[in-house]
Amino acid sequence: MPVAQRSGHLHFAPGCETAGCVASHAAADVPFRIGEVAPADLDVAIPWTVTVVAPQAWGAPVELRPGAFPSTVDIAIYPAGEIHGTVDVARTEAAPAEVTAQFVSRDLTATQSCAVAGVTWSCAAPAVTLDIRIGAKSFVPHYFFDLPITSGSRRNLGLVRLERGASVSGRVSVRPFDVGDIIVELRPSTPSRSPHDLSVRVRPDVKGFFQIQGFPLGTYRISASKTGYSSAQSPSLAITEPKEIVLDAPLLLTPLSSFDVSVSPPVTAEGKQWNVSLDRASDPESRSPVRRGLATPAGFLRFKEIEAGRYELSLKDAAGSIHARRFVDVIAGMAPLTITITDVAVVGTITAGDKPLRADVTFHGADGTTARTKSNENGAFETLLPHDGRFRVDVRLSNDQILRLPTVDVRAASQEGVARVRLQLPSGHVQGTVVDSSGNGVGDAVVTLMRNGLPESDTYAKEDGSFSLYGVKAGELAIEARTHAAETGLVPLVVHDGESSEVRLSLRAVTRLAGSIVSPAGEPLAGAMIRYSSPTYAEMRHEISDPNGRFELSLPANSASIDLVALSPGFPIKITSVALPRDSIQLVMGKPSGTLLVKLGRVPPWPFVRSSGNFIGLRFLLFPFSLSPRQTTRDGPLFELESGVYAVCPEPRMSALCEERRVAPGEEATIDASAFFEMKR
Amino acid sequence: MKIAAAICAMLFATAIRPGWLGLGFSYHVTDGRGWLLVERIAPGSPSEKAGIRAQDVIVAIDGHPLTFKSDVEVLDQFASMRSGTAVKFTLAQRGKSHEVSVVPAPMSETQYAQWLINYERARSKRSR
Repeated sequence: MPVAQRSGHLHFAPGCETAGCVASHAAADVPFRIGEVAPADLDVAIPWTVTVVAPQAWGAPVELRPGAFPSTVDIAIYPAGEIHGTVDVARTEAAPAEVTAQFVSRDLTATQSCAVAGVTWSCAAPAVTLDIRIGAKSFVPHYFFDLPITSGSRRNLGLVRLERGASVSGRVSVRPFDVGDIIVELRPSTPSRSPHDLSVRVRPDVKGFFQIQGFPLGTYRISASKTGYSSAQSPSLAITEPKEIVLDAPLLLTPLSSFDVSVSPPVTAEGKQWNVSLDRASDPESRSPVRRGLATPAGFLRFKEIEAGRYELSLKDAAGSIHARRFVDVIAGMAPLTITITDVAVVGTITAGDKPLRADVTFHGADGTTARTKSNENGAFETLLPHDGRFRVDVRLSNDQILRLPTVDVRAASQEGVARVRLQLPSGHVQGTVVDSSGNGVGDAVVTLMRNGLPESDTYAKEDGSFSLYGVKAGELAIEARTHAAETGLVPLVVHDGESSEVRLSLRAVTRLAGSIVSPAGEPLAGAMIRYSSPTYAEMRHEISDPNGRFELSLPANSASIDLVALSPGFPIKITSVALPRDSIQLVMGKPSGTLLVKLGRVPPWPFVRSSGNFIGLRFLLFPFSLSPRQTTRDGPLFELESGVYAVCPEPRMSALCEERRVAPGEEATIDASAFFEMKR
Repeated sequence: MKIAAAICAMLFATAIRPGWLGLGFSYHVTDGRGWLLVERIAPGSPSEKAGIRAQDVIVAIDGHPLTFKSDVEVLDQFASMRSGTAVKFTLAQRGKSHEVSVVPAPMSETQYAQWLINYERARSKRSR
């Protein structure tokens, strides 16, 4: 045996002819024979590669890195054979200059490069039984298993077809080990809406190894399934380039489990059996309950053959009210689950002002429990809630109107054990008729009530065009009706408590105007909001530009002009007017300019602003969805506007009270509108 | 088509808890291609931290174009996003696209309850 040396000593595999084995420092090309002392001036500041160069001998290359030099270098020497083959690439591809061979046996894992000459490659290989992986950068690798390599032999691995792309390889594990009907599937991590099936399915080999290829780059999960076993899943894999992903851990398949559920009381308050459903809490692929079942009259239910994992168990009555909802971790041999229901009896009324309402009422608990009930013609209802506490309430009226109420507090009175709830909607009421241009009633039009530019409630017109909206809070609102091809535009409306407001909504045919919005450099701007109004109607509507910066405006018939406000983050607000008719419109956003601070008192009412066209409500210059932090100051909103002269007025008719300012690049102008509405208060 | 956009608007058919993105949106289709308009970003949410802002336009999720056929399909997609598993959103602007990776956070009990409520509302809302 050679002695330990600064450069290492070498162990020998059985069969190695020591006289024929040579180790060399490839970086310095300083060969030394096994057993000899390495040169004393070995430079440890540079990397070295120790390789075996000897006829009929093979040793895995060893890399020595500066700062991590071992005191000994162990190289196992094997008798050598050779593997070779040919590569086949697509006609448009060049064969790689080298392929990489990875050797794996019980005692050995090594990787080495094999030169490619033309389309032929070859490599020395240890004379043992090997699993071999042949790969090249950006190509899907090829695997060969249990190949016996004998000393001095040349093993032809044949044609290796190299295809570019990503691949995933790994192993499945199951006890007892039987890969018989195991399917391994690669699927997009989030459900794809592509018309093409992006899943790839393969079967593992007898050793449980699998390789998946032929899929586009993306994010995927690998799952293994087998009848009678819980499926196994890999974490989400982000495959962003054409290379191989090797799963670190095998996909472990475990036998299915069963567990029992016991409910107390055993039946619902109506004497019916409980509905029990089990939903996966952790599987992103699941789309429907894993299991559903009726508990027995004794309140018992057994779930059989359930995959291990976390679930959410829900207990419902016949009306669909959820009385209990909790997480369950299913494992083999788990103890029975007991659920105890402690319902709270609720008696209540629902009214709009003093008017009782017949409605579907749904209580939503913070824990996901729900209770559904119906009120009668007196507005009275009864129900059982799964617990006391705070609940959100949704109400659906007989006219299809949906209202969302503030949270209600449900507490049972200690003596009677019943909670009394009074749901009181605002007493305002809106009713009217939707008609066409001939004055005929139009059924099924959508009627929407808007407050401060946001939808508050909606319903459908009946066949004769009549509609009714209850529970409307007093104030200034707007209402509109739309069908597929016609609309009314927003009609202002004032609602008072306890009173009914009547409105007639006349539908007008819609014409379309195509448009585009671009940056000063001509780049399409996506997500821009284009608000527009017509001077003949008290309405402001909006469209959003698509990913290509295009939008389409719906104009009421006979519009002579429209005023537009374009809001695109990063650009000053654009206010413009265009005459109609025209074929299309292009909005070119301006370059950064100045700002206009408008000091306001209490709003509403909002003042109006005018640039070159007609007056527009100042509030329509606010960015949608969330007020830009830059837009809010203590004194009022701050607007980044294109250069120009802007007038802010209490009302369009009160032009004598307007305040005008010039907005210049880099400057901030201020208008004090806080006293505009003092006289009105 | 529009979806009720609330900050925690994750809607799903069954009781499966999704991750929280803090993102509200509406879904649109132009020339057969779907896209999402970001309408709400919850302060401090994973979406905000990833750089998504109101009025951003999302054209793909995890590299896949959007081809939803109904509001519920959109909601199902978002409801399948799990806490801790990154989701890549492709944003389009100025003729180019870029990806942002958002890792949904765990959804609190309150958020989850609101999520269930919102889903019920979306399911009961008649399609128009």
